[in-house]
Amino acid sequence: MDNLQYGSQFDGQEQMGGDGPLDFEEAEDMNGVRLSWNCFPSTKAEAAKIVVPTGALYTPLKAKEDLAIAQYDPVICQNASCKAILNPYCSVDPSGFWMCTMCKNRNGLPGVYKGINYDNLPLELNAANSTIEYITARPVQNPPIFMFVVDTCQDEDNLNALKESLTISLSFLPPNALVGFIAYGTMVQVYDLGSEKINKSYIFRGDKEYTEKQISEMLNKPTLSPGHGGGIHGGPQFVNSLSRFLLPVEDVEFGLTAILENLSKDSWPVAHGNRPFRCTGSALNVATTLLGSAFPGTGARIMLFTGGPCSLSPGLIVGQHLKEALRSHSDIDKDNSIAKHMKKATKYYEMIADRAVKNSHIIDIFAGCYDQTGLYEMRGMSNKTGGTILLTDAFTTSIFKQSFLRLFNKDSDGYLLMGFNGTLEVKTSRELKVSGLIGHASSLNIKSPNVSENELGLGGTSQYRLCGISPQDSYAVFFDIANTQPLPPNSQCFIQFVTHYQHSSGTFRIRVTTISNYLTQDEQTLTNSFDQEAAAVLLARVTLFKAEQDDGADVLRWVDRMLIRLCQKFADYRKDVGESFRLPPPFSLFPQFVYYLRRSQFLQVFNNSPDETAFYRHVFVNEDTNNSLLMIQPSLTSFSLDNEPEPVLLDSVSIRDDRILLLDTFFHILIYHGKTIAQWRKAGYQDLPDYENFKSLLELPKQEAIELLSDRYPLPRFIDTEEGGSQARFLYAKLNPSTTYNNNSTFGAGGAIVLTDDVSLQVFMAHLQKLVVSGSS
Amino acid sequence: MQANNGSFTSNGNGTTQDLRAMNGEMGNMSLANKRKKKPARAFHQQWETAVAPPSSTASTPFMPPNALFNGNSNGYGFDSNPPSNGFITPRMDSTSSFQSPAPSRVSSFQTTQLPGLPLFPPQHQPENAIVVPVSGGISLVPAPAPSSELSLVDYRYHTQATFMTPTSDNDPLYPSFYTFQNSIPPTAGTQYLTVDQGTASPNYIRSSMYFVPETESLRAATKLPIALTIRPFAPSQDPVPVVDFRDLGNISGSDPLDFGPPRCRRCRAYVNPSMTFTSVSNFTCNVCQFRGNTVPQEYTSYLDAQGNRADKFVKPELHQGVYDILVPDEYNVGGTGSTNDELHHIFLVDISEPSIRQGLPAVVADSIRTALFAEKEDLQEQTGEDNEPSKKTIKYSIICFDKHIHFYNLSPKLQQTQVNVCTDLDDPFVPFFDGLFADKEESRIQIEDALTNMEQMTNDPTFLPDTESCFAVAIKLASMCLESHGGGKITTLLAGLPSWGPGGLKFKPNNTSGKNADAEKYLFLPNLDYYKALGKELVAQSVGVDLFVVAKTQVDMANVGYLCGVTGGNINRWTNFEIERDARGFHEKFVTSVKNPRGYQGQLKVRCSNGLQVAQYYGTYSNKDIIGDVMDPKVSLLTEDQTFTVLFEYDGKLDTKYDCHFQVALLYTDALGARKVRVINLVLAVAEKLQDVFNMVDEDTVMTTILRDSLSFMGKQSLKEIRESLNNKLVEVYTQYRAMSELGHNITNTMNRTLLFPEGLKHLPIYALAFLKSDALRNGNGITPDTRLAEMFNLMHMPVERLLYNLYPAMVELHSLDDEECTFDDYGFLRLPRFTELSLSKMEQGVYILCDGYRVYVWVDPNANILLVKDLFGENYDSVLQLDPMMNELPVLPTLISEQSHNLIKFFHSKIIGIPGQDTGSSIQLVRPGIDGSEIIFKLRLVEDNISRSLATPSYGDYLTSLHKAIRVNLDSDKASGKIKQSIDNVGNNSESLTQRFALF
Repeated sequence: MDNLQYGSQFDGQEQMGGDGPLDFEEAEDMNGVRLSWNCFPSTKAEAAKIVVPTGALYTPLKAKEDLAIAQYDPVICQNASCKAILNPYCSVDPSGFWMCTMCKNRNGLPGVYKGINYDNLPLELNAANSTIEYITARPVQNPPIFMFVVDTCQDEDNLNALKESLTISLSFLPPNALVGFIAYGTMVQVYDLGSEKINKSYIFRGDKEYTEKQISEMLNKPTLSPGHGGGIHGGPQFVNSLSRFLLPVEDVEFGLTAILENLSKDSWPVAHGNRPFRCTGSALNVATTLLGSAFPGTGARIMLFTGGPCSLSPGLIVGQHLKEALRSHSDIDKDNSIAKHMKKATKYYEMIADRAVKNSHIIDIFAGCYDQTGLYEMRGMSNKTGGTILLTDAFTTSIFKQSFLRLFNKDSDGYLLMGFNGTLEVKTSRELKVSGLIGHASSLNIKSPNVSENELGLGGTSQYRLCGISPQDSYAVFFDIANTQPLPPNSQCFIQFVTHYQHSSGTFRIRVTTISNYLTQDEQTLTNSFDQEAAAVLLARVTLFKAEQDDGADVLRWVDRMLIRLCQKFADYRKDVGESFRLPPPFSLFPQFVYYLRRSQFLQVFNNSPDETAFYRHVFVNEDTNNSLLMIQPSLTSFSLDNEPEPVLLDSVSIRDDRILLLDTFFHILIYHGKTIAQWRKAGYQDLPDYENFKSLLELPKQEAIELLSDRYPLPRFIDTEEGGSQARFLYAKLNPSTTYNNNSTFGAGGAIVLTDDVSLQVFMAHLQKLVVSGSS
Repeated sequence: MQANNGSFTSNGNGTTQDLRAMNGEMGNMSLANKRKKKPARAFHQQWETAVAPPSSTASTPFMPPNALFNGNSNGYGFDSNPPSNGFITPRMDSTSSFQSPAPSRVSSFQTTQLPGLPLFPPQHQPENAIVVPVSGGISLVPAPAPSSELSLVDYRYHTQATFMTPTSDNDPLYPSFYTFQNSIPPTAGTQYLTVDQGTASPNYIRSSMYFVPETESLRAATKLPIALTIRPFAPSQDPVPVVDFRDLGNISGSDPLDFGPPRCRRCRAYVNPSMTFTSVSNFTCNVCQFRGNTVPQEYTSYLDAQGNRADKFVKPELHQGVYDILVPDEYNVGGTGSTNDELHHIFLVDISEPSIRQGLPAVVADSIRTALFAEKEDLQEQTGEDNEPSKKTIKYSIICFDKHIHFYNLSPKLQQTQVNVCTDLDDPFVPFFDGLFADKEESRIQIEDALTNMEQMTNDPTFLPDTESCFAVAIKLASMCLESHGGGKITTLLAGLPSWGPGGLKFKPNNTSGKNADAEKYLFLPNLDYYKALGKELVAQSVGVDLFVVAKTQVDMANVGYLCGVTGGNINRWTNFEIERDARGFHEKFVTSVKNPRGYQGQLKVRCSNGLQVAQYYGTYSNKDIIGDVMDPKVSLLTEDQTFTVLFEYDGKLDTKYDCHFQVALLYTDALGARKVRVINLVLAVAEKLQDVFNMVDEDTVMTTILRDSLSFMGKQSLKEIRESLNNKLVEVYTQYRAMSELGHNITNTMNRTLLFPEGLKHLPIYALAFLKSDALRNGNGITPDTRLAEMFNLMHMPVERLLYNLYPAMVELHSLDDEECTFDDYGFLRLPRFTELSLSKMEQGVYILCDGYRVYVWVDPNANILLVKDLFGENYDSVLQLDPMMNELPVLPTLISEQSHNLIKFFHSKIIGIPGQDTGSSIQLVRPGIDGSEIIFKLRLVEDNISRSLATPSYGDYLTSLHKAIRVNLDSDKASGKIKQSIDNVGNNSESLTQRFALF
């Protein structure tokens, strides 16, 4: 046998030979994958001890400059239960065979691969192309579809702003994209964009749950197929006409613009003390059903723009009387009468979500309302379909306007940066099994042999539907070690992510990422392979996943226990001697991440509405490691006259009178001017010719902020404040309260007093040490 | 020709002398006789003066026919016809043959017999056919009475002439009908002036009896109903005064019963001219005789020596028979605190395939455009003066339907209209709020846009219409739209059997007709619960439906038409619509439907003197069947044409000391949203003698009542039974009358010999015969249930004159018109010629115009004088064959006959058909015997002829013969039982030998 293992240039041993932490980000840049453990324990028993699950944070469509793009279909393992794709780790026999890394099946090479050698390798066998994209020959039947579902129960300003944004967005769509338009208020109004002579729409009750059959019958109307007006071939040809509600934007832009212009506030009178009747639930039912009947299994986005809570069944969030309050977290926890609609509504929107998933359609929710709109109940629709949720105070805000348009960002070739109709398939070599996924995806319920019994997140399948997939969308995939027998050293296991999706250029593409990990019994190797950032994010995702199901306090205890157990396993300490506690460098920051996670709005729902929580969690569960980490532990940068800008501790001690602080929590970007700076600014020094440097100091954080703002979705809320400013609370809420009113002497040197009862990081760490060394769990 | 004309003239002259004399006699006898009964009425001070004018003019009515022959007419007559034309001679012959018996009859039947018959003897009267019993035995004598005595055309002509002949040579004024002094009104359709004397003009209200029997047994002896036929919004020469009582009693803050218009505290009758003010602060109710009524403080007035209030002639409610009262909010539908909306009107248009194929949406669109924008109409004038100028205007909405329901959004905020399609038929709902109803001026652009869309739809070959329609749901939805506005009107087009969706109808084969009552029940009564419930909803929500059916197929009128029937809407039907020919007629009727609403949210209450009570309302269905046990009917929609017939029964005995008072109070909201009560008062005398009762009968109302009662049994009894009952009824009535005469019930009267007809019921047989031959009742499977029902529903509420002209159409012979005839006089009255009897044998080979209450037909015989044809249709026609059968109007030509024809058609349209003046001329349908298919329809209108031997539709003569036979048999057979005799002898004996049908009569 003259087998060549082209992938074996990857010398894991060499990588791990160094003492320093591995360069995880570099690996991420290559494959879009961050692993909590970059080596896996070799047996199931060992894996059970390492506390933090073996998982990967995978960004399938991660933008990659040097991405290999193959203009042909991939070579697939002929083992029907495997179907893995030929990759650099495969050993290839130039005489015409290749060995599947996953199932060890021997496959014949296609004829055209005959005669390959080191200098003439197909793209997918090139070691640098462990991630590769295939553009398949299968054509996409339909261009991307956009269905706008617009709430008209809004005040004029809000509606007008929304109309404006929508009108602008039309020009961002590819000309051949199909658009549909549904307005709803008390009723659902489906616009017949194909009606040229007159503005025509179909109305549905807002308080009725129509079946698929009903909607299809109501909207379908036989029409003469174009070109058969006279019926040359014996009578008119009838065509299914549901597609007339979704037409190319280039054809209907004028008409749709006119419709938007004429769109006015829902005219049904609202009694004093009542909410308007708003039938979000019914509108979504109609939208998903219509789209499902007309274009099943084709990439489509249903974009819901809602200005308030649904007040009509189905999908009722809150009754029509204003005296009936919207549910809060505590109502939901107590399951009291205020939250009485919650379960039913959630179930309803889950049903809608399932339908959209079945048809591979995305549901986006844009809420422009100071009050809650029912995102909490509706979140499943976006979470399951990979849609986006955007919570804003109003459609007049730039957060909405800019974020919305950012959704239509394009790549260098002018194609929308959004993929449709995707599936993610996770293939593993036999040592591993897939235990689940946490991210905006839905299970396809494919129980292939590599599906683990243990479920973490969405389990029980190795394939997921990603109705919508964008370059930044990241998915946490967890693995079980299935191997029970000791393995030879340097044994490798393989993971292959296969992502099928519809590219907005009108092609079906397959992104294949294959990674290999060593299986090790060596604890030190394992320790060194720990990526605490990825681990923190993965743990956070698991936590949030649990939080969606369990009581908040239980989840916090669970996180604590995980942290303690991890420290007990990997820290150096002598029993019952607190001072002896040392964490190895790869773990050093992990407790801190957990501390901030515990304090974050993701888990601390106090002061947040259920809608806000749903929104924050939604965004978190979608972002890559860096952004997620930023959300867990915001970054704080200091600007002062004396020093270069530098990152500083997220701590109350970082607040100084002569500093400008820039806080980035992902959702907020806040510039905080210290007391002195604020006074100078107020005095107008920056306008004086002699104080150029002060002026540039003031400008610097702003420039920095603008850079941060530039490519973020959703657009963060920008806050410019100063000491004593009311908005400064956003900063204080994030800072580690080293100095509170209880203990302001601890770090006597400067800093601000944070008025909180929360424990500080120091106290938290002290407790952790104590618990770890005492051996309790 | 000369010979003919000459002989005619001389003969005419010869008879005219006799005629005049005899007419004078007749006038003195018959009219004066009638008026002698009047003193029984309580307050007839001016009685004597009233006798004079009519009697002095009574001889004149026969002048014009005379002039017709003397004045040598218009020269169209028989120019082209050979002298041996078969029509003249027989007429002359029969004249002579009838001349001899005439004088004897004059002496025999002094009171009622009219001499001078010989001039117009019945053409078809089989000689010696009518068996007239004479005292002492039975013998055959030549048929006497049913000749000109029974001639309806003469009667109509005569009555009209009475009111169009100046009172004297010096006084150019026409005699007026004085509502208090005169009693029996001129036959419906007559043009006359009225003077309101505190009791309403016959335009508004007609009674079947002007001498109300004192007791039930007296009434029962006549076998006639006591009924009123009310037309609350009849067109009148003077505007109806409006009295504002909205604030009366408001300040006193006392008893809420005193709030608003002054009313009797016991029977709640409204203040009226017959109420007796006994002191400054007290009045006695004329209806219930309650004495304890107090006058509201602000309403007091001093009484003069006669006990009349000083302000009697200032306040309309104290001296007029008809007036509107503006009422306070308590009278609103929702009570105090609710407001009344202006009328909301929905156009509901079928756009399914049958409609598009016939080009109808475009026709409707054009009609709507005309109705809304073509003419400047003054609403203020239409609804009477309003104290404060109201900003309100009628609101319109346009909705189309096929398998779905298409709403046009007419909001003035939109740049163009939008169509919203409602597809949920199981659970219909009002799709939007703003723009559903629009003011026609504010939203003119949007409305025009919608109409244009409908036209495009019609003309777009690529438009693929739905094959079926969901009419029932569309109506339901339209009524839901109207719900929040308190009701309104729906004018709807239906072009085929509405088979789609809930309430979808199935074709009903017409093979069961005439077999049994159950089979007919299925055909004639609504069988779908959806429609029954919908009818109930429409009535409850005050929604009226006008239906335009343009369909070649059946549309199941039993269900569809029911919706119109219960809401008092009109049904207009075209079964063979040709857009070229019929669009104009459609257009006219449609525009009328838009313009005729006078109010809505009506509630009718008829109060009457003690002793009588309301037994039944016809013309509105909102009784127990529809909305439960509400006796006073709700009337969804009020139009000028709407009439109600109210049947009374005795719950006691009328007090002969007083008159019999009726007060019709119609509470309604006018088209601009003002809440009003229209009060119509009628004062009648009370009779103690059977003869009086018989002599003061109004046959128009009697016929209307009998007809409506008969029709109300459609579907409940078989048509055969209904026809038999009708015949029996006639036999009974005349039997009673003859029995009365024979038995000498009234000893003072000398009429103890045979007499066929009471003066007032002479034409009942011809009307009854016409009714038997009408589309509603005629025997035969050839008539579809739709046709029968459309006729039935319309007959239930149409004005009396239309009803009577529908039964016995007016036919005018153009070729013998006099120059004066068919021209308008200073009063705007049309000088009508004598109509032609409706018999083919009376027609010559000329041109005729016939109006049957729905349409105007122009009959042009192929052999008609070509000069006449040229004068009527244009110089370019050389033959009748060249006329366009699709012609829908007569051209306007500078010839006299053209002008006369136009005048006549216009008169028919406005007075009979109920289509107010159209600027552009009026629609006609051309009928050319032997050429056009419409000949059949035309011939059906010739009710004096036997239509078909097999269908038991006898000629008038045959019918009379059998009627007489039946009467005789009746009387003969009574000799044993003596029941009839007994009922006459002893009016106190309530023996019932009536058929079940007329149990109430």
